[in-house]
Amino acid sequence: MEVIGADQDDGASPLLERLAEGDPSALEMLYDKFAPQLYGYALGMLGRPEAAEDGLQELFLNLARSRGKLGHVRSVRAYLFVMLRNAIWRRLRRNAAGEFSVDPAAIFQRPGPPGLPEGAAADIESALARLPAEQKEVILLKVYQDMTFPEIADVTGVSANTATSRYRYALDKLRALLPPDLLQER
Amino acid sequence: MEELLRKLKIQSPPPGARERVLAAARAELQQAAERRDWLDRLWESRAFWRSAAAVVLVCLVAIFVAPAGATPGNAAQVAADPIVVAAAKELAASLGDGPVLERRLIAQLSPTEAPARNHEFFSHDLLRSTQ
Repeated sequence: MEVIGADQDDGASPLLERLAEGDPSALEMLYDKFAPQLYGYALGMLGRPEAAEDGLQELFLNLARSRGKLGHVRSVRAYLFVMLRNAIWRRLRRNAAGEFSVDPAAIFQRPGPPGLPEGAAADIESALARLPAEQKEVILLKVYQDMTFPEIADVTGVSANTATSRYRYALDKLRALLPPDLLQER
Repeated sequence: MEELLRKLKIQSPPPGARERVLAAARAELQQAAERRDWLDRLWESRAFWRSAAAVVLVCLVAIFVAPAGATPGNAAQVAADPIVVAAAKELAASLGDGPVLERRLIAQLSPTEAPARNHEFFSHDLLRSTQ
């Protein structure tokens, strides 16, 4: 798997080297450095805290299992997102058979930021929950993980143009789904 | 629109998640290390390679000597060579077929007083030369 060029290196490669040598503290440092963003992505996609934590746990188990095969990784962050994405999509496919129900009220911190009307977070969560998963994913990676479109393309396995298109479609749908007064608020 | 979305912050991992996730990962790391140690020991074990070589050799011999020629009747004519007996036991044990296969292998690998085929001698000598 080729994930993002060397110029995107996030300085975490030594942690993978330590993990490859079997150093458990490398796992802890990887968790502390990346878990909040990874969890946010998983929570946004899966909608339930337990499911997001399970996805995160699956990611770290896979890391421990494949620790000897991490030499080719150039961007640890992108690699972790790809691994987590695989776990998330396996869960989403299982969820198509009704494994768990998505609770759109669990994604954002409460209370919301000052300046936003009460209920804005719930409205946005509800609108996000109605997006196709591929579009919601691009919103989560672009807006909440600050990824560029080429980075999103690497993580999601599509071209940068496709990622850009998905983002535009997603924003259009959100505009259509959100209450007009919320859009005028900003 | 993007500005509106950015105002909201996604929740952080719940308390306790760090310990749960890391405990599972550390256990997996430990198991992986133990599996690796076991494989390393096996790989470095001289007995393992001797056994593997003996099994391969006996298999090759059994394939080439195979069903024609020697029979239990033939084996009865000459006492079985201890090398053949040991190899047959090892192969039979590894295949889990027990005494029947063992007897058959001994019969097939033991030379008769008047061997019908040269390769039976060849297999016997080959086995002896590897010891």
